[in-house]
Amino acid sequence: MRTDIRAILDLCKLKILLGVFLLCFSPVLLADPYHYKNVLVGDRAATMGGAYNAVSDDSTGAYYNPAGLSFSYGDSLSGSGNAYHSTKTTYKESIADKDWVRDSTAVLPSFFGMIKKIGSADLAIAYVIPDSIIEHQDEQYDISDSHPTVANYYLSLHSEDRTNMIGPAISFKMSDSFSIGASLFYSYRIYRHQQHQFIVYKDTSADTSYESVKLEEYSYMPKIGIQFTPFEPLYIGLTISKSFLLSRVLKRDYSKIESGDYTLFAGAYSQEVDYPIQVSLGVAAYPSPSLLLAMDVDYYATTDEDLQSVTNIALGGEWFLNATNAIRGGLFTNNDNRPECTESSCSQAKLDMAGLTLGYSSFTRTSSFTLGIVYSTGSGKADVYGDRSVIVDMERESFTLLFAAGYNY
Amino acid sequence: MKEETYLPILLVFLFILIVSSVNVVQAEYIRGLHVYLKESPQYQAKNIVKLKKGDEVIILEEKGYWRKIRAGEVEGWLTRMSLVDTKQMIKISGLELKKTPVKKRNLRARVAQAAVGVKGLRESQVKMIEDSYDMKALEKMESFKVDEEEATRFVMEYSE
Amino acid sequence: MRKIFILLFGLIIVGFTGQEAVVAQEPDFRLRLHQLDNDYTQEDIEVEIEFGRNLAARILSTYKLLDNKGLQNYITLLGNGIATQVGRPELQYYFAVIDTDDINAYACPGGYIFFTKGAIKVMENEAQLAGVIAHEIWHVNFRHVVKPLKIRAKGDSLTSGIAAAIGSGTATARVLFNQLTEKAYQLLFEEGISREAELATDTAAVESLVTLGYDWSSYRDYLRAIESKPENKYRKVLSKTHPSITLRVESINNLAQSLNISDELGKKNANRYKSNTGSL
Repeated sequence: MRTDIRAILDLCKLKILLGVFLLCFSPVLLADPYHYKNVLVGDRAATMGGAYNAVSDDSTGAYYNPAGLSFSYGDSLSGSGNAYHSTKTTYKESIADKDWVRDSTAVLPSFFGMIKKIGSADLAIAYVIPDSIIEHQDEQYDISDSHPTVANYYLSLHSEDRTNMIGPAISFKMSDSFSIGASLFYSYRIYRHQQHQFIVYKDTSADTSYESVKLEEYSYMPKIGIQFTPFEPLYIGLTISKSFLLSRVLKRDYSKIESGDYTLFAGAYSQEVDYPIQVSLGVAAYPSPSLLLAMDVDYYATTDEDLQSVTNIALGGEWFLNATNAIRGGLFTNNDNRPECTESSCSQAKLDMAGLTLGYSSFTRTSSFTLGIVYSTGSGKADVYGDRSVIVDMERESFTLLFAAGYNY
Repeated sequence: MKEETYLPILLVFLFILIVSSVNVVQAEYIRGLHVYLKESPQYQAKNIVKLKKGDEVIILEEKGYWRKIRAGEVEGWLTRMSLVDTKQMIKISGLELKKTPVKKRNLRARVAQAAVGVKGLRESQVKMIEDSYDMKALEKMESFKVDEEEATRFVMEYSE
Repeated sequence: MRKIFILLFGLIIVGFTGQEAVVAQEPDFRLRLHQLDNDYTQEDIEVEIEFGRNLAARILSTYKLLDNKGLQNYITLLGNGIATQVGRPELQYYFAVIDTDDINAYACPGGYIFFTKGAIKVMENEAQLAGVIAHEIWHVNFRHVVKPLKIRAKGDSLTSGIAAAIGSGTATARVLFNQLTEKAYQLLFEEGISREAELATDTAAVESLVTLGYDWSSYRDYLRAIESKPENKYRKVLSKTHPSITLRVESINNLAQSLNISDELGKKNANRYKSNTGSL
């Protein structure tokens, strides 16, 4: 999705010919395969900053650490959704002297799972949405004061990027203090982007372009994990996983009218991707029935020479005020896997983020209900036109309001 | 491994160290009338002081089935069985329920009467229910009572 | 910079090893507050007692109380003395001997405990009786009938709202209540308590004996003695979930080893026992 598209598109050469920069906005900026923690999965895990590797004792364990399923309290169902998930990205002074602000919002389910004890094993099925963005923009920028030739710029875009994962998980308790588990997720990602740009010049002439991109990707992700307790009150979790691509197809159409000439292009490409190996280490402490503290370190080791390995840290806690009410909090990092973006070398952008989470749960003997918020923010740099001619500052803020319900039987 | 990955691993170890030393203070209460605090976690160890039933103590250390506790100013050992996690020392007994409104007690006689008028429930069925409970024998069993102190001495202060 | 990291690592590992390595026991420290199932209210206990006494009345309609004042007095003193030390402080425990040659003991919720004449005849000393008493008291402490039948004042399951059944004057509510009582009767006399529960109760009984100063091995010897006896109704309830006596004896021996009490000799009080039970 990187150099190959730009090479074919080659729109950026127009910049020199027309003195127009805006048609060069790379749609690559709109997708986000560069962060691993855009959506924290599950209600208890999400409100604990995602520090769940050494806990994972409910159906969300299928996603975090399948070995934890062995320590689940009983059979259960749970589902969580993001009532409101919004991300706002600002590229400072990137449309002449104006900021380009992009918002995406979504209401989406992020997790649904079931866990069942069968014999000496624990089985779970989970449906996870680890990332989802819907972005819509209709903007007009009046830049006649700051640009020599352009009077107005219209940008209309609609973008959706969503990954769905579904899969089973199984876990065995090898002893009272040690368990193993494995899960296998099938993943489907669909990314759609449509963008229309319209430029009105001071001499009243106009140019326009239209672009449509569709990316469909199928992959599978096996994960194996262990959990053990070296001594009370600690538990340690360790997982290793990697996604393997089954197929990835990119389709692209664009058309433009420029100084009276039109250009049409349509193409479809099959791509190869080598995903990083993810190794996660988690520690959880249970000093009392009311208090739980957890910490995760996730390491993503990439083999892609355009990307960097990333380490993310998460810290979380859960405190039971009494048997029917609990509160949770957490901190987490969501780092970017692209190399540093400088004027000499930049891979579109670099944005490291960090966030905090808060949650509240209410329990009855058989059910639970959770409300929570996840907030993250970060700043970095972006190469707006894709040729390092202009490196702008960028900021991103993301806010999620989540709710979840679970039932034990 | 890059330098940046040392820091998170260091943090993990620090975290483990800190949380594993978090000792949430547990308070429990003395169960029983004949509980002595001992100098060391052995049955033959010397008694320090006799503790009162219901006294609140803090657990300091655990060793097998022995617990080192602090009761007021004194510290010593006792078995975990001598402790209970509830403050409720006053007895709730079945006999006390008889003090509650009539509709809650001795329901069988009332049921027998009410059931005759209830559709679908034959008189013979009601009689069967009534007969399978020997309330008189139960009341006799509940009359076998004895003073707590006397019973405790009977068990704890006799040995052959 | 690397050297500083290594030094810090080393210090932390030293700090680590300074922790007393406690043998990882059954990790129930993972259970959270809402999973502990120990939030029983006064109402819950009142319901438990009312249910237990009715179950006791049910048992007493099948088995008659043994008419032996001396023995009954002895059991009452012994039982209450032990209950004061190792029982739930909010319960009044009642003990009675039922007139049957079967060898068994039954614990109803709320503290209504029965021993059979047959069992008392097999016992040789007070330590054995104390062991059985402690075992039954712990069935009540652990709520081994209350929990599977979900006997609580209020709750989510169909059967747990029995306070309503007790308080109601309607016959249909009483029928429901009686069905629950029958279920409990079945649990005691036919199905038997689960393996984990039974072994946990034995563990508590042995620890109780040590705390009370009794000879724990006498209790184990009693279990061995009754294993082969045909009157042993415990054998009747052997099922997939119920542990055999061999397993129970083995578990007690392992417990004694792990608690280091194999050499601790406590009292047996054989003479007092014989003088109070000799009339049988």
